[in-house]
Amino acid sequence: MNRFFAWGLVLALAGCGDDDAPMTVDGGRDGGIAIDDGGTMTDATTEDAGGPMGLCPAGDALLDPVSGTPRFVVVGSDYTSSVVSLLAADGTVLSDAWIDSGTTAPGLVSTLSGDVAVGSGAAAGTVILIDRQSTDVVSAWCLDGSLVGQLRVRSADSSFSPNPHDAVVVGDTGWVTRNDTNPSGAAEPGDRGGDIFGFDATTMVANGRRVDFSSFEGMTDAGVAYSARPGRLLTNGARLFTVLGRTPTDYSDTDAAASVFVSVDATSSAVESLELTGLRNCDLVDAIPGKEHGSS
Amino acid sequence: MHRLSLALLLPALGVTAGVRAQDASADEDYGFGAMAEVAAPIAETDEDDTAASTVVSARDTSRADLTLQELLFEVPGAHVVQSGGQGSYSTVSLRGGELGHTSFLLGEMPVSGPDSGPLDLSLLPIEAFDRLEVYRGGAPALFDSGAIGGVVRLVPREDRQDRLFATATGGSFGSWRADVTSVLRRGRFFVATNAGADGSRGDFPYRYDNATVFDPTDDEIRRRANAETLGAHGMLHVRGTVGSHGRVSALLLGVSRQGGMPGLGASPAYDARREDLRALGALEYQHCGEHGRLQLVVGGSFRRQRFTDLLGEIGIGRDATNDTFRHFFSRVAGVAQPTAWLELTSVMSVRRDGYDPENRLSRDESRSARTTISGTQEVRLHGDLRGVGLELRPSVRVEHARTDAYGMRLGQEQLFDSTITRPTFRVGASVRPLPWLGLVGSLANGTRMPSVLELFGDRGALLPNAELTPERGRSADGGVLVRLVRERGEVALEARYFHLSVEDLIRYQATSQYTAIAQNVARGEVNGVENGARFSIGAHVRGQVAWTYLKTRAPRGAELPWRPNLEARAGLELHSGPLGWLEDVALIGTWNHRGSFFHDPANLVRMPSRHWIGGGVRVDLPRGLDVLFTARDLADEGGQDFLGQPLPGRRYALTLRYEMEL
Repeated sequence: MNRFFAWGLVLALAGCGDDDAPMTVDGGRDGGIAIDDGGTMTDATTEDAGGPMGLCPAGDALLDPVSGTPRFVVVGSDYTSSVVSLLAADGTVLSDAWIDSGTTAPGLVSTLSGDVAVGSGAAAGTVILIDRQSTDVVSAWCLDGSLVGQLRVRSADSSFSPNPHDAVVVGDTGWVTRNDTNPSGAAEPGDRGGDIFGFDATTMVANGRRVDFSSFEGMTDAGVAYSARPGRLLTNGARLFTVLGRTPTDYSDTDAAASVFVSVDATSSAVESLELTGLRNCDLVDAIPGKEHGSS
Repeated sequence: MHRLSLALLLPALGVTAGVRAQDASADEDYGFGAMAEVAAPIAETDEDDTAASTVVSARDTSRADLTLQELLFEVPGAHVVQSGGQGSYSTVSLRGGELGHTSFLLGEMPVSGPDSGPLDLSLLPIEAFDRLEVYRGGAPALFDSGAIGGVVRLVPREDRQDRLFATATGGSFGSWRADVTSVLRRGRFFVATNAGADGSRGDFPYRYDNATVFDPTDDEIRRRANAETLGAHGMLHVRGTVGSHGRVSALLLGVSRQGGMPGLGASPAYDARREDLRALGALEYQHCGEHGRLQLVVGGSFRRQRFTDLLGEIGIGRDATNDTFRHFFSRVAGVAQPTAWLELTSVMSVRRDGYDPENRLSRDESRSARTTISGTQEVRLHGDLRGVGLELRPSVRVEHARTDAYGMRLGQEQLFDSTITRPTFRVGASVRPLPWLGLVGSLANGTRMPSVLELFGDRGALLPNAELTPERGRSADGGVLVRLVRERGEVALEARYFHLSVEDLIRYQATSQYTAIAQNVARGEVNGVENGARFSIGAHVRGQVAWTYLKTRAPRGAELPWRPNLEARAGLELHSGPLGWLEDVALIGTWNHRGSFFHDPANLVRMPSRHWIGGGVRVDLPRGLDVLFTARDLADEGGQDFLGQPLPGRRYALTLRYEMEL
């Protein structure tokens, strides 16, 4: 077990239930995440070229720029629509509705649906918003209100919704966990889901890379087919960490197999795993402050 | 009054007194008129002059290609919603109520309920019906309905002449309809039959934005896929007299529809399928005496609804459901008139609903059943006071429902039962100070029982909550009705103010990402004005206008979602009359406006307003042949009633209609 894997083991204990607990995959609709300011950001609109300004199209703000230094993103939702707020480090509300479901006129979808999450690891000075089930869109926003881009992490010709759950950016590469698995056995790999899906974080275009977790799928003793559902995604250097909640493919039952913690080499896509015996329906993995370097 | 000839027919726009006149003449044709002893002084029909009602004829041959839902656009206070093109789900809400707050009657039979949900109007052929009666707010006591929003009654065809007519329509996106209807009168009986089929590819174009609203580079025009529908229907309606005081009618109706489920525009479904089969039968006997009448209705219905989604394209998870609904209904009503100014109405109904869900991909689900007993008592006080017609109708109704079903709790199947009793009331009044003027008003409350699904869940994503209480609503309205008739034309107007407040609205609250539970959490208030007008000038001009303004209020100052603040419709027909060898040429124009509305309770997503402009021409040829060409949505606006479900834009239809006397 290498150093990174030990780090991940500590993380994996969050978000799981015991064997008999009802399936509760996500803790709730109101959520939030801290913005990575790169350790130096004092003003979200004045990053150097190596920061968000390298991604952000200058002078092309679609949202109102934020005054002050936002450190937290908070998502509020009633499952029909959502609002994203920005907070300062001391909790001061800098923008109570930086972007919401009605920011722009609806097309076939609203600006944000009622099922929105914030990516765990955006590039410095940016925010990644993930519009989940059925929408399947990952949007990267700069804090100056400009849009890096939008990426739909599903095939435009497919009816399958892979239900993206989390996203991180490592260098110029972004990764999205796709929680659902295509029940069609004939699906192309890119339309299969149940994976970590790669994209170019500077252009928000799929880069063709994916880490497949189909080897973790199977059948329970009761004959219920289950999928491998990656949830929260974390990074440490060039490694990706997630936990696979192995729950029924068609949500028909609360029964499931033991969850699996996986560590992925983002360069080679090699996967190491550890089955979390006795823990089922896990989805969340998080860092324990002070334990980030394998000191567990 | 000068050269004006003012009509006594007070209720304008085919408002209920018009129904009485129509029915009375219909009865005459069927034999009642020949029996003077039957012509009791009491009301022989179900109408209520104090009700806020509008009647729309379905026999108007000017638009033989209309659908039932399009006909409802002419009704003020009615909000028709559609989910796609021909054959796709469509229903109506009244006065800003929820879709489930409208009750539907087919003749005398209720065809909607808390478990079956709002009636899908697209299932029913317009040719099978004589008219639509729409009662907003409280409905006449004889219907024994406590609906919050109101009642839509579909009255089966009741033509008075022996005839046979056939229509065939072909149109854009592979849409077609064919119908044959016959009406025969033999002795004391009249028989109407109708049979037909319809279909559509439904592959209309729409703007596909790939769900990336900020990125227009990936937008494209696509065609709706997997939207084809195929339907068939048949109806038999028999009515006649029995003895010198009895009237009997029987109704049999079967409809079926199958087709694809296209899913959301941004997340299309290519394999999901649906199938809906309904059969309904009702038998009515009515005995009219000198001082009263008695009505007995028995009926039943069967519905099988299949939904197959093996790839989980729609909703969450895969489905292969085969749900069946069985429904038995019986109603006894008596009307007595002890004095000339007093009428007493008593109604007792028993209803048994059975719901048998089945999902091949899920664990077995047990049947559920609901027995509902309700009773209504109404007093009608009416008469003239110095030439002013007065009517007062107070009524009370009590509904008692017992529901039994199995649900899951803590992973174990349990039998749940729920017993709910709810009283409702209504008071309606009308004053006729002038022969052409009427003032009407009413106060009422209504209720909607929670559905089995809301009470006991689905053993999966929906959790049980047997503690739910019925949704409650209170309504009030007041209005003016005018009908002026002169030699060369007539105009009928209705204008009403209404108020509707609803409490304990049932909404699903998420308990996790994939589970939800129904709870009594929402409430709202609607104030509005509804207006309608119908006019004709000689034989050459006919027109109709309807508009509704709503002001809704939800908690925390928000507006209720899905309620356009303004809806309007205008229609105009210009008829040439005989023109050479042509019997008539009619130019038809329609304009519909739907104001913007919020998609979400938080009022963040505002759906834009839109207009539809339509037009057409109908040529009446000799020998009973008509040709009708119509264009809908000429401006190609399309739009959406439900977010993500695009509606067809500009489209055309050509209809041939042949009618012959028998």
